[in-house]
Amino acid sequence: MNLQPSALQNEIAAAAREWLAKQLPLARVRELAAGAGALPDEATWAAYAESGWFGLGLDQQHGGLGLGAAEEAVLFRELGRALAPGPVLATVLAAHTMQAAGPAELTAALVGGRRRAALTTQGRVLDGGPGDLVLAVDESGVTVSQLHDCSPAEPVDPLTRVAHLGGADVLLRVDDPSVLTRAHVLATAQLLGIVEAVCDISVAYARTRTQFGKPIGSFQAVKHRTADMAVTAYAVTGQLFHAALLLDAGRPDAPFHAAAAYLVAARGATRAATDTIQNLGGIGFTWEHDAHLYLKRAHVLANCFGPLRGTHARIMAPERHEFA
Amino acid sequence: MDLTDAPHLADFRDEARTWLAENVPTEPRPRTSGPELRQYDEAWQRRQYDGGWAGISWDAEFGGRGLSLLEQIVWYEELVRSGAPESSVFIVALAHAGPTLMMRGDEEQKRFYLPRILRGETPWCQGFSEPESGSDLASLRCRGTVEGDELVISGTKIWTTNAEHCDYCELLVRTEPGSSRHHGLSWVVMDMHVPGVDVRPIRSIDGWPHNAEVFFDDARVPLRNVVGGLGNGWSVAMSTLAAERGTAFLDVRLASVVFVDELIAHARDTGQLRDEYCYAQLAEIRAEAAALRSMAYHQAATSEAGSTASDSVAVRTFFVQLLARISRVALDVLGPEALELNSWTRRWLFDLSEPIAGGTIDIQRNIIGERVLGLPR
Repeated sequence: MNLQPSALQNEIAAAAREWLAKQLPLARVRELAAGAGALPDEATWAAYAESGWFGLGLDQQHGGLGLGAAEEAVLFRELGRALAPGPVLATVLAAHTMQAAGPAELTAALVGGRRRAALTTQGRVLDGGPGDLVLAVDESGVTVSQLHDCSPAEPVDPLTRVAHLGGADVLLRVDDPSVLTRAHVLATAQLLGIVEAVCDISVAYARTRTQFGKPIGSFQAVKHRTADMAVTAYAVTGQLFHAALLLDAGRPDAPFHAAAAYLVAARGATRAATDTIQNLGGIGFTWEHDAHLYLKRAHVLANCFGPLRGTHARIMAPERHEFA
Repeated sequence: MDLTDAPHLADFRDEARTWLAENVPTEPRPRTSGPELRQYDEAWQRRQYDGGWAGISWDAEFGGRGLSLLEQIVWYEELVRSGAPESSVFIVALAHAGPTLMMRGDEEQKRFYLPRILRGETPWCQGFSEPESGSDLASLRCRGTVEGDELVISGTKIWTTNAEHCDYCELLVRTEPGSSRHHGLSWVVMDMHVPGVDVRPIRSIDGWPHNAEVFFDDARVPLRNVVGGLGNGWSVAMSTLAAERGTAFLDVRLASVVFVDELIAHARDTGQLRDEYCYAQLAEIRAEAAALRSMAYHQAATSEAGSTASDSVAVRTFFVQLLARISRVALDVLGPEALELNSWTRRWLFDLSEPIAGGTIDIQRNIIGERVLGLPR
């Protein structure tokens, strides 16, 4: 296990970042979200599949690349940074679940981008519609259902669809606590991307915006808030990749470390995005500026498995924080 | 950096755990500032040396084990879990002076001072801060005047931890008359027992005289005690600070992980853990303590490939911000014991020094803003 990024991990990140910057700048994501129908559209979802994003961590005989959670985390960090739309996290979790316990053709359909899976929590469905799979992830495993009815609600995040769960038929139940562990790792990675993105926004603005004849970044209050974002990013990076490596190694303390990573990332990303709105002043409060989109996505990621305090059980489960 | 124990590391861990179980002092560290304190620390340091556990990553020629960073980490992990004394008058010698001498000392200096540190013979203190130079270290004024083959030291240092127990001081003085800021400084090994050195302990908010004010009145030290060359003191001091803010304090970071576990155990014993608010607060700080450990390792891992001081500033910033939250939770969990001076409340009071000592956290956050993020000064 290595904490330094490998050449392959750097390649995965660079390729995803380049593709997202070119094909899905935030203006384009806003456009897609404003339309009716599934988010993202079929063509974009198919392009995700072509990039191999749904199968990074799956076995090669299931159409995957046979890589680990650390490589998946590297991709999800970029998805978070770009606010890439759609239920990628749920679809990757569903593909893992199907590979372990489901029909092979469903695994292939998920990896190939022909089927989508959405998360459901507390009676809500995130980025899912009739015909999709829905995943209810809990402490001990996951229940996968076929969604046939839901009613759209007005979402807090304009880039994430929310619906009230109507009818769904259970397809299978898998008892495997590592589903939630992987979910925590992938959500943490997205949250890390958000922290880094808003930190960049704060820095760029604080360097150029002048008041009282000087750049606002020279004011200690602004500087300290922004410095704390960099510290948060650093802390989350360490804990994220530690947790991902423990998950890949099948270590018993992986659930603890992944839950800790997710909690710290969710609190940190929400704070960093909130502070960025403050750093931006009036423009940060506008719909036009992208700052609120990062805050709202962070907020959705922080609540997509239920309230954040739900992580406490896993964090408090070990008698002590084991070092070995 | 590999985080799972390879077989040789697992063996090393077992050896360390076994040795510590048999050798950690059973008597608590004396709560007096008399000579017993130094004797206690000397005996424990000597015991580690004799057992082959001093200077895990120091070169063998200076009495160390010459092992990798990973063994150093494993040793710290076992040490903080073992109930070993958390503090020692050898901290500065082991964490600052030793690493600085290794980086910047000449052969004679290394051969003389380093083994004496590991063997538990010579505690060191640090003479950087002055009454008028706190976070702004480069404004220091303490003078070192060259007279023949000697330096004559005059001036005042303050916040010198353990000064009354120490034989040597890593002293930063202005040796070039009329110089300013970072120029004209020298890093000197000061003998604390020569005439003209007056140590006056300062009582801290926990009642303990952690620090002292040290007055130098024409105290003489041989020129050969200058480390890294006359006038190069700033760059030598920066080596010291990089060591101080880096892996040197990994054990202190790990100790806070252990402390959170102890708080949880205490809350379980007293029934406070059934209180929803306490439970939630403890979970939050335990998660953050895990992140602290991982980020410290991440920094250690990247330091192998050439780390930047800014990474260690980020670790320290997260650490001291976390300490404040841990204290808040601890005082909440304690109940009536919070009204008494005991190991818990002493820790709370002592931890108020962490965002100050070694440069205030306010200035550290400026450094992150300016040097890492490129924000304007």
